[in-house]
Amino acid sequence: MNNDYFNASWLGELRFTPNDSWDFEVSSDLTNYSDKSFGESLSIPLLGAQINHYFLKNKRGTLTL
Amino acid sequence: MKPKLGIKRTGEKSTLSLAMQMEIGEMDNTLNNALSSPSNFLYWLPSLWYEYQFQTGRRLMLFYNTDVNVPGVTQLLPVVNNINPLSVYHGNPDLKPEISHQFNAHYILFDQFSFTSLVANVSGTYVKDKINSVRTVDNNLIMINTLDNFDKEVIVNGNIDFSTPLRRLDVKIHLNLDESWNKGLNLINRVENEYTNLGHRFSFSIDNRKKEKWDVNTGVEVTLTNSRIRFRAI
Repeated sequence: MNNDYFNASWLGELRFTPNDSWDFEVSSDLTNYSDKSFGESLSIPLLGAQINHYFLKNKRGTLTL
Repeated sequence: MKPKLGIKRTGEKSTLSLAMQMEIGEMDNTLNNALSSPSNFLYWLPSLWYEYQFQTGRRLMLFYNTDVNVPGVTQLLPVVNNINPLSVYHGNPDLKPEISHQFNAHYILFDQFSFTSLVANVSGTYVKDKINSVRTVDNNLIMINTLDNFDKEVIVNGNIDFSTPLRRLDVKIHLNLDESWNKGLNLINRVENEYTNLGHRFSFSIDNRKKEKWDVNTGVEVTLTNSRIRFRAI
């Protein structure tokens, strides 16, 4: 019933804003889960990407992909 | 009904707020026109907020608060949910509200010339009549889940956060250390289990200082949790 859980993760985020209208983002996360009762550890990679386009005066409109 | 009376005193470097709230309620459970015994409750809920500014960028805050958590409908409803026939759930109409006491001490240090910051935080929560799980496995290996009030649960947490720029590399580094501990009770096959969790978390991240067009952030985090369960005869 007693257990010890150990997680280790790495995170990376990159954001590029070339001008006031566009914004590009990518992110990645790699987490390794392990504990005493698992035979072997488990690694889960996650990737994300997002593009934002701002329009109208004062960026009042946003289109996100 | 939650009437509240508060008083605030502001000094040159400090602020003190005291408040007393009264919570009055009545819980009635009606199922198929059958009313189970209604219960009335009245709680006094004191709270305190103290802030002391040593000098610019150095500040200590102390906080104490009490709260009542009234059980929700799904926690009270005694009708059996057997969507998963091997793990059924029913609520407990006799649940009492939980009462929590929260304490928090917070220290902030920010040097406006070097943009270095240090934030330390210690918090504790004591929950009386904690609502927690009761599980029973019958002879057909069907797990019956419900809820009950337990004597108490205690949660303690400490956190230190440090960030500073490294001008030579034109980056900012961020370090965070978090320690947490909690102890509570639940019931499995009519045996009380005292669970204790001790958690350690450390993170380090680095990002660029000038974010005109590019914002780059990367970091690592490690978490270790020691979970212990001890059976207690009741």
